[in-house]
Amino acid sequence: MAENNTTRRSFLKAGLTGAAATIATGAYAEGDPAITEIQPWMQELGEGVDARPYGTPSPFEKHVKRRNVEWLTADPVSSVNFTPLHELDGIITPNGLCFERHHAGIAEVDPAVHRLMINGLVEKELVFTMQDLMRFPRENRVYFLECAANTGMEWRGAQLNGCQFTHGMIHNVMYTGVPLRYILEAAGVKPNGKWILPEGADASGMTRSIPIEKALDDCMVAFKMNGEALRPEQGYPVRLVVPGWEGNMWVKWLRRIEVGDQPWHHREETSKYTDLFKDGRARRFTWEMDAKSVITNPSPQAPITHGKGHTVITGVAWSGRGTIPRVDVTIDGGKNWQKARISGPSFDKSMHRFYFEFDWDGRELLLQSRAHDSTGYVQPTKNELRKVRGENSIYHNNSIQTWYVNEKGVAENVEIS
Amino acid sequence: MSAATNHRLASIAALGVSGFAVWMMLAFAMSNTSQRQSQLERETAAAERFQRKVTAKDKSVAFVQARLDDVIKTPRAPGTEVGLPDTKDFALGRAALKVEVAAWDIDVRPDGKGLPKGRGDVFTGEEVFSENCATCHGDFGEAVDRWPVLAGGHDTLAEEDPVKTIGSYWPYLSTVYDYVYRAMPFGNAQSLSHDDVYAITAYLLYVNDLVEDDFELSHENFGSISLPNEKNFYPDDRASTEYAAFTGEPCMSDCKQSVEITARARVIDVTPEEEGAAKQEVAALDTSETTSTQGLSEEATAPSQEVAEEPSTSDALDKLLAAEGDAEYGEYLSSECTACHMSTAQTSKIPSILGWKQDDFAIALHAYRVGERIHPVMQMIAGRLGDEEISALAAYFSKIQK
Repeated sequence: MAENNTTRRSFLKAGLTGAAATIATGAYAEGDPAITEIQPWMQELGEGVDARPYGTPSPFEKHVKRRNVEWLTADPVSSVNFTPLHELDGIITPNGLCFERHHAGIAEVDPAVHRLMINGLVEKELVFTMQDLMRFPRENRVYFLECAANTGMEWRGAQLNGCQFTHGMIHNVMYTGVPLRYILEAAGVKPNGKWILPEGADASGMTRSIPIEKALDDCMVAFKMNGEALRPEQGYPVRLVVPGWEGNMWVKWLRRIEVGDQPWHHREETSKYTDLFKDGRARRFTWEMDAKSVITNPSPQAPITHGKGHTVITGVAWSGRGTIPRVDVTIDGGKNWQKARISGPSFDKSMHRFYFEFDWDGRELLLQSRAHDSTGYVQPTKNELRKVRGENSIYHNNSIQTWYVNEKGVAENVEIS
Repeated sequence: MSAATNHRLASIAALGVSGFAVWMMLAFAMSNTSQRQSQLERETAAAERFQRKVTAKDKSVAFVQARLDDVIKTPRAPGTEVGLPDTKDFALGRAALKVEVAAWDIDVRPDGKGLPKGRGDVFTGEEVFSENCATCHGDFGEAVDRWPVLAGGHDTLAEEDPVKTIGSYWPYLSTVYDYVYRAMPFGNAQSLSHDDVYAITAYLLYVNDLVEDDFELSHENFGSISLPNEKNFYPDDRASTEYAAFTGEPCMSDCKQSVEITARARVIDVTPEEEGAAKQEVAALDTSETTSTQGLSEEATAPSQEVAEEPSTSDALDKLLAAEGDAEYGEYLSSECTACHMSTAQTSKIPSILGWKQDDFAIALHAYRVGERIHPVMQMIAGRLGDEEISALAAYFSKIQK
């Protein structure tokens, strides 16, 4: 197949040659072969409607995929991979590119034998089938899900060269599901029911303690993402949605919710997902994700390849405490900032897309973005955050990211004064 | 969010706990359903119940208070939809049977709720642990490869490389019991008997120097065991320690005189190799003689005044990596390393340096030498080493397998 022999590199070279041509007029004395020559797809028939019953991206996009960092964890079964943010645009993450974090691999749950149980401090302990769940009134909401450890490798210095790796433990999709309060009210939460413990059906039996106020406020029991069934790696057939709060709480393969009068202090809220400070003490229950942003293009995996001239900088911003009314961008390492343009819907606790266009003179750049959220919070610099928290907290690093771009357009993850 | 909303939230925050009831009323006032009155009453009643609870001794209630005041401030996006029914019983689902609840409700809490009857001693625990756990966690909880270290690490939490173990970090013993029974052994969850889990838990206390070797753990004495680090956890306090500092109109122009690059990912070089795209693109950019950027780089040959000159560390590193390295000389020098990095067994705290790829070893030491890696002892030691020494050590240790 012709496409498979066309590497991205040759594709890129063609692009570069094209760019050169626009500068050196006359390089195409005979005309651009992309135009003057008949390409195979202009002549031959393509596949029919029966060839791709579930469509996949163009072979030219096969490099667009989730990737993992082998040295991070002992085993890929209890590990994480990363969303290729530098290859995406808009605000919605395609289902197959949503980063994965499992603690016991991907559970392949048969929905026919999946049950959701509500027990503990309720008037009636209940069991629901998937069919039962789908008879509750549903709602559709777009929310980001960010792992608390996103950017966690960057506390001590610039480590990983690519926003996929520094910021890719996030995705943003539209969920269809049932407000959790309907399900809890069906069981009847007793007055002393102050916490819930959602539990997953996978072999890790993931559990987290969540205060009842959050559960009754905006949590959802979701069975669809971006209109189709949840992917197995995202908790098929049903997962918890905990808007704005750290991803670990969004229990996948949700099989049980217990109501209790105090938190459970299970492994993922004591040993993990607690923030160790420089004095040796640790913050716990640091649930909501603070405002954060990152420039996705250019970035180390996505250099500027067109040379000087009109250049588009783009990135994403989000806040677990509201919307993002404003993002600032600097190209000179923070000496001067300008407001970026936000395009696309601005939903509560959802990713926002920003653009900053400028005329690149071909000089070195130090790029940063700075998110403001609807509470007035402004994304801090790395040094500001380290001053408060030290360097050992692993989790909740929402500081400003810097990319150095050289004269050739090659980008690198750096820290600056 | 509008200025009015901000003002409203600010005044609610000032009201403290009673602000919750007000907030709930405001939040629900936004909804347009006819049933909102009953919803309001119910939520207000819930808020009042909560307020009464705050005075109770239960620590967890204090956490709820902190969360309510500081976290759940943003109402659901208004106006996105109307007409979602008020909560009511839709008569869906069926009653859970006792046997079903018992089958799934395995969680254990710090106050002992959920703890099953059983017992197990340190000696039994050693046996069960050795059989089921030691492959990953090591015979004494010291861990193999990157699997979690379970023992040791005492008094390291404030150090540069904290070792977070059950003994040094975990606040509650109930968490150990719950997790081991729920999720371990990895790949064979819930296969251990309760007595086995008591025994393993007893053994984990023992290897953390928290009990003697004749100790037996049971549901009867479980509540008498406290873990040493419990007192060092505190609830999220970002609202009082960070949010004020990170709020306000930031500087937009002439914010600083100069900018220096202080750290670079390339020097550390831990990014996974690209199989396809980007690195090839970068390589193409680095070497291509036909790209449109070439002319630009000539234009920009004079260093920009806005950014610092690229440090020469990458040249120095290239030179270092080009050196072959005399393994015999490396062996001669190695005692300085093996004094801490044991040549045979790996301690729980200091990482193994055996069997590293030669280049990785040299890159790591170079990163310490130029201050890109920040361990002070390693910076001091690497700072005394020249290229010849580093490449010799790299050659030697690359040949020694674990």
